[in-house]
Amino acid sequence: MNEPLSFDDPRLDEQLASFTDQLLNGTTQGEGWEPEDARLRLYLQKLQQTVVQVHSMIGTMEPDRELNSRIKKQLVSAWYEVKSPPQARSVWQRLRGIFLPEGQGWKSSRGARQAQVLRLAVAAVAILLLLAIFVPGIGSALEGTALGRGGILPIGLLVILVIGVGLWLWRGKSR
Amino acid sequence: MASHNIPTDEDLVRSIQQGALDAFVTLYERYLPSVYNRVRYTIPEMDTEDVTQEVFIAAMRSIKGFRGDAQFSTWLRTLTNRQIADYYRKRNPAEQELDHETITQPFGAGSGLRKASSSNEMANTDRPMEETIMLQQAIRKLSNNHREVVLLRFAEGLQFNEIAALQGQSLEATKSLFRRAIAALQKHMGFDDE
Repeated sequence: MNEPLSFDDPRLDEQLASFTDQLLNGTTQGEGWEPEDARLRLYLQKLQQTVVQVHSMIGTMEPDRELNSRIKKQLVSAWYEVKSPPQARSVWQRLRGIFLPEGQGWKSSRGARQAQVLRLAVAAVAILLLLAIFVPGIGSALEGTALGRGGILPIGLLVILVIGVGLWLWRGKSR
Repeated sequence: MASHNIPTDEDLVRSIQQGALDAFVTLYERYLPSVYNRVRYTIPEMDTEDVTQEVFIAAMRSIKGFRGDAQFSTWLRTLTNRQIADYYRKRNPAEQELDHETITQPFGAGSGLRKASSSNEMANTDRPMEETIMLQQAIRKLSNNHREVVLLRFAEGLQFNEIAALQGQSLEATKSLFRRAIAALQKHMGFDDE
């Protein structure tokens, strides 16, 4: 029968730390302590293998110059927005705020995607609204309803309003 | 150049609080590598740049409230972790499902995972994306202290004695924590398939 293994041997910790240092610092692998027990030896080898995998998959790298410049540029424009005194927002600015994410001076691709979805949704609502008002047949006869003739127009507008409010709330949640 | 000419983080923070943009840029240059690498270890590659940028925007917005109770690097690290958490909180279920589907393949033997032959091997050249996503998910599954020691050593490149000082623990305790973190990571990645 196998004896219970002790994984609390500080030499295991020391050996793995030393192995990691050598790997990350790019120094050559020296001879280190090796457990006598085969199972402990296998345990240590697997830990070392995991360290190698983690390092080989992501590693560390310096952000390239282009990325550095792009972010810096956005930060500089954000700086002036953050530092500028708050002003009363005009109706136009408020409308613009619906379509652009917070901190309009910088546009992340994720923020741009959200804004794009919102633009499409608002355009769809606007088209539905125009159809409801101008296309003959929609918003005219609806015999036998409690609302009588023309009852579908207010219902349509109500549906559009509900969709609009839903989108607005969804946008607020996704921020 | 004498080292006393290099402004400390605290000097820079004070200048930023007085409105000096160039101080912010200096601080940004100083911390970009560590923030960027921390984000790379936890966020899908396509969003790494955005989240890195958001970390510094968040720092810019809240630096006025920084009182120096903790080191600036610790404060920024906390902010980075918060932005990473926000990133996952904001992701819709469909995106998270996509991640899950991408990594249904086992990660261990036979998955085509290559081993690094040298420490200079740069990580993200022709590396399969699903393996990286799986590693990122495994890191996210770690407990806070396990995740932190892994990120500090791998992503930020701190030495064990620096991590020990930062965490306020002994060097031996830090190395032990690291070994247990790697064992947990191995388990989450499916490497402990004895």
